[in-house]
Amino acid sequence: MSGLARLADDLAIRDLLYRYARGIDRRDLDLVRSCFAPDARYEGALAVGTIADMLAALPAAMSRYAATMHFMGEPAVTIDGDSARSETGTIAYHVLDDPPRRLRTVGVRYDDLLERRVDGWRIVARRIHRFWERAG
Amino acid sequence: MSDLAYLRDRHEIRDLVTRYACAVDRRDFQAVAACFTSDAEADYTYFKGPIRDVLEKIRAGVNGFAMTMHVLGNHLAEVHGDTATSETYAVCYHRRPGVPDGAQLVVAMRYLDDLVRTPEGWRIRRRHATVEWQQSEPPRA
Repeated sequence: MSGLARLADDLAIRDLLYRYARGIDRRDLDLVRSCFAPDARYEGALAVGTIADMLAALPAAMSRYAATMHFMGEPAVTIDGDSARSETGTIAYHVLDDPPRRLRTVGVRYDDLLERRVDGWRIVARRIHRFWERAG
Repeated sequence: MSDLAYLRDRHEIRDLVTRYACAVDRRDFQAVAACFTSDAEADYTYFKGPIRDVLEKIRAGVNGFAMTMHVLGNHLAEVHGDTATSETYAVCYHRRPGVPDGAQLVVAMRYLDDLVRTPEGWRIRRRHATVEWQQSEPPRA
């Protein structure tokens, strides 16, 4: 793979990871769905199963919050042809509706497997490791 | 547009947004101004207007704190020829003067920018800084 193609893939994968956060934080389920392969595996607080299970659980989970901000650090991306993996430390801020404006902050890492599909990179498996949580 | 030109534009736009944050924290207001076109408009939620007015508000605001630190995260940009749009997450820490270590104001924003390619490089010509949440004097660890 040329250096240029490698850089283009790296940027496309970063964009994908950030589009996921945008989708969650804007409550845009279609945007969230578009980041994953239809049969992607998902293992996190919302579901252990497939991305369809996670998407089914998402609206109720989000309704508890006035806003969320999934603040992502630098992803570590490893590309191997049409497959890739990435690890991304993230601080997820949840603004509570009740009590109003209180923050729930959770530190996680997204471990993702990705594949190049005809219409671009997609997450095919995501496992979320939860490290810490703080209320206040 | 070639892949190389696209990657270069994306990189320069990310650099521009980051340069803004570093310049504010260093209180280099000339460098802050250089991130915008001279006719730019900005809405920072707490204040808005033509960029020259907004820059004065930023200067006065930042100078009222003992220090600021703007931490940037998620960044997405779309390039359309000589214009672009971008969204950048920021968590901004402001320490008040004359109070013990840890007493600070934390403001989380999203910078929604319209950018334009100029002979000197990419510049912001419209900025909307939304406030997602803010917190004063968080509990001590």
